[in-house]
Amino acid sequence: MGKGFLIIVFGVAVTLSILIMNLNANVHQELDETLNFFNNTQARLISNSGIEIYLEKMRRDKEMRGTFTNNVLLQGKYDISIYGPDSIMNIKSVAVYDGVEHTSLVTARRRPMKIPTINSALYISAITMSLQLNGNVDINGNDHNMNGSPGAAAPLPGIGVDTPTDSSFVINNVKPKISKTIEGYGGSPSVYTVNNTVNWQEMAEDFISSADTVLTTGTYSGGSQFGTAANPIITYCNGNVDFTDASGYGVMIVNGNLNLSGNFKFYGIVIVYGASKIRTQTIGNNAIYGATILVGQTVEIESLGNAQFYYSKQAIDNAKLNLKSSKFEIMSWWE
Amino acid sequence: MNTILDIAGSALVGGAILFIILHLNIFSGQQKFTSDKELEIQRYSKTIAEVLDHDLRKVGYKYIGSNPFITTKEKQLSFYSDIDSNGVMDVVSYSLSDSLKAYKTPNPRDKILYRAVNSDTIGGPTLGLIDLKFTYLDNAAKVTAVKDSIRYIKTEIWVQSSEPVDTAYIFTYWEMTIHPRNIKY
Repeated sequence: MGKGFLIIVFGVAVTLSILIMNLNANVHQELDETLNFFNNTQARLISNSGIEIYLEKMRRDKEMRGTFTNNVLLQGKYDISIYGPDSIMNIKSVAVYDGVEHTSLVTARRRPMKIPTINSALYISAITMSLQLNGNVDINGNDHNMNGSPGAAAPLPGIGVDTPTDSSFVINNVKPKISKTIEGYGGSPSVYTVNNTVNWQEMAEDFISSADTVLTTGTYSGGSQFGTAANPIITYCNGNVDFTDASGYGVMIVNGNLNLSGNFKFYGIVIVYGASKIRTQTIGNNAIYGATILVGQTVEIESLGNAQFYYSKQAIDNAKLNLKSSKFEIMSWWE
Repeated sequence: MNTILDIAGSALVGGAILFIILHLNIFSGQQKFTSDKELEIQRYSKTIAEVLDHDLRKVGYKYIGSNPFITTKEKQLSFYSDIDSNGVMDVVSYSLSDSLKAYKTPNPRDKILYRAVNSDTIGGPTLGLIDLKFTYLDNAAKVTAVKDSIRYIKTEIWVQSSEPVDTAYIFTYWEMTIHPRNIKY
């Protein structure tokens, strides 16, 4: 009898154990299913985040290419491969999270830099304008190549302004000697109202976000080079800058005062905005081939000595063709 | 007399023990069945979710037109995508059958989710799916019927066990909202 009871108890214990083991096995499997889905999601998130991180890095380093491995993120890792030209870049991200792998593949192209429509060799937009043009100032809306030879494009006004009132102000406030040197469309003085539809602040901010070089307040003297003909750049001057014997190609944005003190040559577009004051000084020649744009509440122009503001379609086209934006257009995203 | 009492008592105790053992057996069987069905619906819902997740994240992949959506209904969705990344544009379609098509399971409500790539239609098992709903949202996460403004696709699925547990079918509900990255703004 006692043995019988023992056998029965043992049998019940075995049955219960089997039941518990089976239920536990199901619970473990349910947990595994949930974990597997979670791990797949995490791996995908890490892979996509890796691409976002490197797109941001490429915004600052426009030449970034190659393979970058073992990047740690969210307790996982990812490897990035970047290859192809700016016109069709391939970015591949392979992430691993808790043994689960996910691959994302992006095709992107770098957006071309948006160059504003140029309406004159020198464009002034201001509520308050002050002109003190002395010395030898040459503002010429006839097209010039970067080597100074005549270009083939149609002439533009030497000075462009927003309203007939501004146009009259310019004509009435320049000396007759200077007036003869404002050349371009329509003959001297070539000062005309132009139809400007550009939001210059937005345009300047677009350039600033893609700046290759950022300068702070200071003097940049002999030997300073801001881009070359083959490789023009976007130079952002955040403050008052003074250039002495410097040169550059591309686009220069100045948020402050711009002083050109002798032998400054720039081929492209110079945009001075904000509380704008542009001044040239006497030593040597200063020349901007392309276009000069002055926008702000108050614009003061002082020129002493030799200053040349020449329209050059060649310089502008060179910037348009070769400047690299920091923005990308995503063409396809496999995740 | 005592012997008879002993025998009667033993029979009573033995019967009670047998009764308990039988009930334990039935109980363990039921518990196992319930647990199996819970695991089953979890696996079914995860499988359906993975298939939908894989495809919906590729809506408009390598599509060069303005709008990759072809059909955007509550129970039906079709769109352009190079779903197999072979350089050839495909049309991917999802639709829900009626419950009569899934006649091989005891559950009278389950249906088949049809997934078609171009003209190939894959039906397959029901996986316990009793209902599916697509909701299309714009960039403010508001419901929209305009294909050009679709930025998110919200998918809801209701999954039941293929067989009833006791007299009721256990079920699970699952939803996800996906923003396909290839939809052009």
